[in-house]
Amino acid sequence: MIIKKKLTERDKLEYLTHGGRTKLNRRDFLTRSTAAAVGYVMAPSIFSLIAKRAYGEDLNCPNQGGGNANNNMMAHLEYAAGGGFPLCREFVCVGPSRENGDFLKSYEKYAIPDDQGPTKNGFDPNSTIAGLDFHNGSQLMKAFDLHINPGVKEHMATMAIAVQCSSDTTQNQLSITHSFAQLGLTGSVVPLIGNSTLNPGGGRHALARGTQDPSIKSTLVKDPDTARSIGGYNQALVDRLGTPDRAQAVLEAMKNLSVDKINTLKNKFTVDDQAKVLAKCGYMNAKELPFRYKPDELYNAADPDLVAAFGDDVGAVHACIAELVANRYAGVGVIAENFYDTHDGTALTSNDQGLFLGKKLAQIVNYFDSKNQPLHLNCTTDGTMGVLFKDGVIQVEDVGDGVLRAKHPGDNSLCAILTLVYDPNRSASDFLVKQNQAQVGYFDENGVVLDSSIAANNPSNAALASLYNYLALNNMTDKMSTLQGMNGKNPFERKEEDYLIFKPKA
Amino acid sequence: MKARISQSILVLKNLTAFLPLMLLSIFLVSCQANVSGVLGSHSSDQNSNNGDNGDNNSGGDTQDPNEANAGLIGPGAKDYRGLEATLTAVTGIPRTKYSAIKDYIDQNESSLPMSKYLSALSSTQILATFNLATKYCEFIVDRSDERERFFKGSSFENLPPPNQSLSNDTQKLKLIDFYLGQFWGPGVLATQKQQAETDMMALLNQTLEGQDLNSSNTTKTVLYAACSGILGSGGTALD
Repeated sequence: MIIKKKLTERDKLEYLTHGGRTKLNRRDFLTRSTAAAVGYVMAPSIFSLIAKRAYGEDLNCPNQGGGNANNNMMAHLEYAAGGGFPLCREFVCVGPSRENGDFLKSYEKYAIPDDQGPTKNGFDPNSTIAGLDFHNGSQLMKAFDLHINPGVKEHMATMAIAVQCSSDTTQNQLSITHSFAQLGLTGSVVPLIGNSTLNPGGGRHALARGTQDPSIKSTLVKDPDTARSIGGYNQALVDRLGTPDRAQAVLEAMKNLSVDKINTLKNKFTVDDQAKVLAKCGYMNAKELPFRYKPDELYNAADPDLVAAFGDDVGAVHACIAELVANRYAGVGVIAENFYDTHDGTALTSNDQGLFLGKKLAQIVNYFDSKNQPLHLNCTTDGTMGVLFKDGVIQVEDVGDGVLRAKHPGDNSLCAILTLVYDPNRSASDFLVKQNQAQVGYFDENGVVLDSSIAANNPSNAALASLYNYLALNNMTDKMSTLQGMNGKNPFERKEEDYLIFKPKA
Repeated sequence: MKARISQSILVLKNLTAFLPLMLLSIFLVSCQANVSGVLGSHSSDQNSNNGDNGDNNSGGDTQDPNEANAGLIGPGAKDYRGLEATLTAVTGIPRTKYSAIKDYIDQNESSLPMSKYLSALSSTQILATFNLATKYCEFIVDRSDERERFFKGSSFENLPPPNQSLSNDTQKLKLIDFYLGQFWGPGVLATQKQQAETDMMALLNQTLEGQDLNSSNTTKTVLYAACSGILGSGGTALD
């Protein structure tokens, strides 16, 4: 006798949103509540289903782990600080005209004493990248200049988005990593890599509102070993069985057994044929993937291009992630630095972090240059650092070469997304809509002016504005409203002149 | 007194009238409880709080179109919690018992399946699942205490060399069926089992080819390969 359990509406809802009823512990409950609060559900997005259905329909089973590596699109990296790195201390934030030279009355709240600020002293035009100007004494730019290969800056540009952020890193919706797979930038092995598992976006920041796609998973890459294993190659299996052929035979058996199981799948909800085809494709790819991309191919620390670009840092996480993204094994990468928060009350520590970041950025761009690959790189942080005043007087330290910077007692909410782009086929002047303007929103002497743009008081909109500029660089602005989370609208379209800093390639 | 007797008779009559209904209710409740408790093709569900798919192997459950449409694409895969619980249940090795297993899970949590939707299952997640299964297989085969416990009652407990234990199809089938019984349970469909036997037979033959058939190490290799193939397959990872 077959007794069929009648499902309640709650059962159905649970299946629909969470894929089955499970007991929740407190942590799970909080996680889900947070997820609900930021506006996503666990069901696969319609977009991803459509995209995957298309894969299933042609029955060719393209690489589901990554898919088609779209080499026509710029690669995207996010360099996400885990604390308050004072990005706004490095480039020259400007006022309402958003044009270079529209200096603020004072940069003391930005850690630069008035005596050394651009209002009195200007800045060194040689120590800059097209788009933004950088302060005299910017350690980030100093290190960048020291390490960048000759001629590379001539193919680069920068922009910034003024945004006020919370000092809670994981709550700031500054990441856009899930949107790229929807555009076709999926990587040949995996769509997304990152060295942090704090957020589904692969880094430390939350994803921009509504953009999370549950079918996109970030693969952990934190060192050369994990970089070498993103293809799933199981060295222990090969070693134990003696030859790769035998290991492949085990995977073949695993695939066959799985396909048999899929053919007989039956559960309370009918698993539709498309889902079965997709799962079969997944198993077929899983059988081939480790042997199509062997560890040495994925990451080889002895590779001359890697060594030339990264030197002693060849095993560092930013090298691993940049290498996998530049070679299109991964669609998008996130480098999450854990130690940016410089709560030691000094100016020197932040200074050192500027040197650190400038060097890493130069290494990454040099590597992309060696591969002739265009790059879109966002530097994000959860607010910059506060400035110490005593009796209204800024408290400074000499950070070297007579450069004075304020002591930083702790976080504040002054923030920006700093974007660097590199394209070997474009000159610096080809990137910008207006040569003298590279800032979305604006600042005053107290910080971000909150009504200066829809991004200024909304990290999620700031991230999406950055995505909009990425699309512009790739001649794809028409895709903006089609992306998950946009609900068919492009919030920047009506005031393009305020939000588009970068322009399409001529 | 007379009135009291007639009242009792009336109560009894009412009870008799409702008795079949009560019995039927009790029967239905017990059946319902039984259905909820039925395990799938293996015993993971009771451990993973994942018992909703318990009637997988009933072989004849009819689908209500309304229920079928309740989810655009129904669940069919296990998420990493269900997966861990399944692997623990079928191998008898808790995830925390050996650091190699625990470390693998901790380091690859983001690569293991996060949702139960079959359509969201990617090849990297499948590989992570397979590679996790191979970790469990290492301990089942390599550690003598785990091997003796797991293979107890089979002819492989003491690692007899292949020329004694895997020299013909009957012996090979014994190993395959042992694994299928342990990992997939008794609920596996006959056709699925038959197909699995064919596939695994090919794997065993390939693994034995050119190997020293007098060596217990060869038996170990075969046990490991067969364990990985079956434990890492959809039979374990799918609902």
